[in-house]
Amino acid sequence: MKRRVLTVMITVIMAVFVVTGCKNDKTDDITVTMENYTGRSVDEYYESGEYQVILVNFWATFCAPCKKEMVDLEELSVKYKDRGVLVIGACTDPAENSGLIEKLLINLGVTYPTVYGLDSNFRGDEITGFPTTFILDSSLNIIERIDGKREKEYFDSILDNYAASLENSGQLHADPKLIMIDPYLTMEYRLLARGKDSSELEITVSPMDDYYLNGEGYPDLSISLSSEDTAITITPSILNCSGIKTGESESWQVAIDGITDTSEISAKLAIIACSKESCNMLNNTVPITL
Amino acid sequence: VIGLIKKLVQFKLFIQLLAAAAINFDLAAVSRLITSGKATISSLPTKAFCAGGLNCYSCPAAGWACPVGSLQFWFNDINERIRFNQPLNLAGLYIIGFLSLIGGLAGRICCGWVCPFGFLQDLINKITRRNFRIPSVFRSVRYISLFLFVLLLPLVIWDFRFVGPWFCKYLCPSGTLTAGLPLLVVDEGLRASASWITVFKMSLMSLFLVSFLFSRRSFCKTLCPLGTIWGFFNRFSLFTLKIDQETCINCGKCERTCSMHIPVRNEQNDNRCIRCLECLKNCPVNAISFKIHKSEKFFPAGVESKQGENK
Repeated sequence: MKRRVLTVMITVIMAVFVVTGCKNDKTDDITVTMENYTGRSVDEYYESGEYQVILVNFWATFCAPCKKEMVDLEELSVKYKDRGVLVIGACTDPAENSGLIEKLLINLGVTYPTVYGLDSNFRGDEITGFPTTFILDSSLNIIERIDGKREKEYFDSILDNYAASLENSGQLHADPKLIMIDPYLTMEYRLLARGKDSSELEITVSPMDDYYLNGEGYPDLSISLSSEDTAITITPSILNCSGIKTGESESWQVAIDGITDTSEISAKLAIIACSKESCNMLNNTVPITL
Repeated sequence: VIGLIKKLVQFKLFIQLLAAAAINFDLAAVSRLITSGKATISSLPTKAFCAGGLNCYSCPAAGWACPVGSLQFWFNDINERIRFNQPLNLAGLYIIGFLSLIGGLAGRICCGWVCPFGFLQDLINKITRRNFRIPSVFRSVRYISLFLFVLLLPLVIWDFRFVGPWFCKYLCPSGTLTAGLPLLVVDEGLRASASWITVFKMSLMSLFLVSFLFSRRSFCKTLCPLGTIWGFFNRFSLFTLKIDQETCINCGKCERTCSMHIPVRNEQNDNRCIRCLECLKNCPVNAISFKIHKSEKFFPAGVESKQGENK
């Protein structure tokens, strides 16, 4: 009989557990950014415009499979950083768990930006399973939702696809390349857009130090662009202007059709560079590699 | 009352069907899964609560959480918080409370009447109606499944490669069938993630599915951690079974109809008992009865006086 009384008591106590367990009050749903951790807030990343594809990975500290995935994503975030892909961790734990979140991130070696204290809801899409991953385009539209954990190879291949399509559609700003013709001038060029059929190139010429630039057939200076590859057409193929003053620069945009990875274009300069003392005729031909 | 109980037992399969439907009610999620061709599961707010049976959270239609899965995730969380010196999350006590509440009321009753995987086992067994006895070595595997896979490993292991719900990840045939299989069939991207674990779990699941033909409830007998937990309550629960030895004619029908092979005449509240009440239904002389604590009344009536004498 006593045993039964004990059972009743235990059952009642457990019933109280049921009720208290439910009372998991989230204090506030404010979004806290781990700025000090990555040095930059997520907003800054958004606004920088350096990223055209954003992968938002929702996780929670209790979620075990998330951790393996986060280690994979860390590797991929480094791999795709220069190809316009940003990885953001989004933790749905409340703000009071910040200590745990930070220690976890350090333990897992995660360095991509992470926000926490989020609702388990992303733009009205309810998230009940972890991890859940969203892929956003540059205008922050959701282009893909992935429920559950995936292997690294899976993310690797879809990120590679997105990065490659970006490069083809020309949304990616390539790094400018610099040609110096000492001590007279610098010529900078970069691809603004790269497409299968048509690409756009920007060329900027600036005189160095005390020089100013003129042309042979005064006052026009000119740069002729040509390629040995007959499939390539360049418009315009001759760039000219009526001289560039000291401290100023001149830019041209050129459309190039039929470009390939191995295409080479040469630029023949016809420029007279003058300082206060003397003038020099430049007849250099420089290669432009794309 | 006994007539009503016997009627209920008669319609038990129907009740189990209703319970399975009540647990897996989100058909909208299923249609989402099929039309999108991408792995997606129900995302209803009810999923914060546990279901009364072994029913995978990741089953696309599931509207509730699996208590065993929740338990493992909570133990993982405890493990991690102790490791990182953080305050524990007491919300997990809900799971302990839920399990103890049901167990304290009626032991493994959910195994017999609610659990969708138990229902499936009963259904498949209907084909052959065979029920071979499983050697006790295999029957004790369920303690390993509970203490090692559900309790110890999630509480102790912390390495991102292995941390996780060990039972769900490496063993659970219910999860493989109701979550793994449909999601893998639909989602090509998920199939690419399949590994040796998938192969192992699929094999284990197939093995069990076949075994249901030959031994009724073989999963409950050998591997189920949830049934094992609730089994501990069988002897102490408010609802218990009782046999009246004087009315009993030793026909042995109760033991022959018991899907769990319990020697009913000696032990009515064995931890294997799933409270399906088949014994009660099949007893030709109504010698088996149940009682609810404190009501000194036994069902069927007529045995109260003997209860007094026994004391």
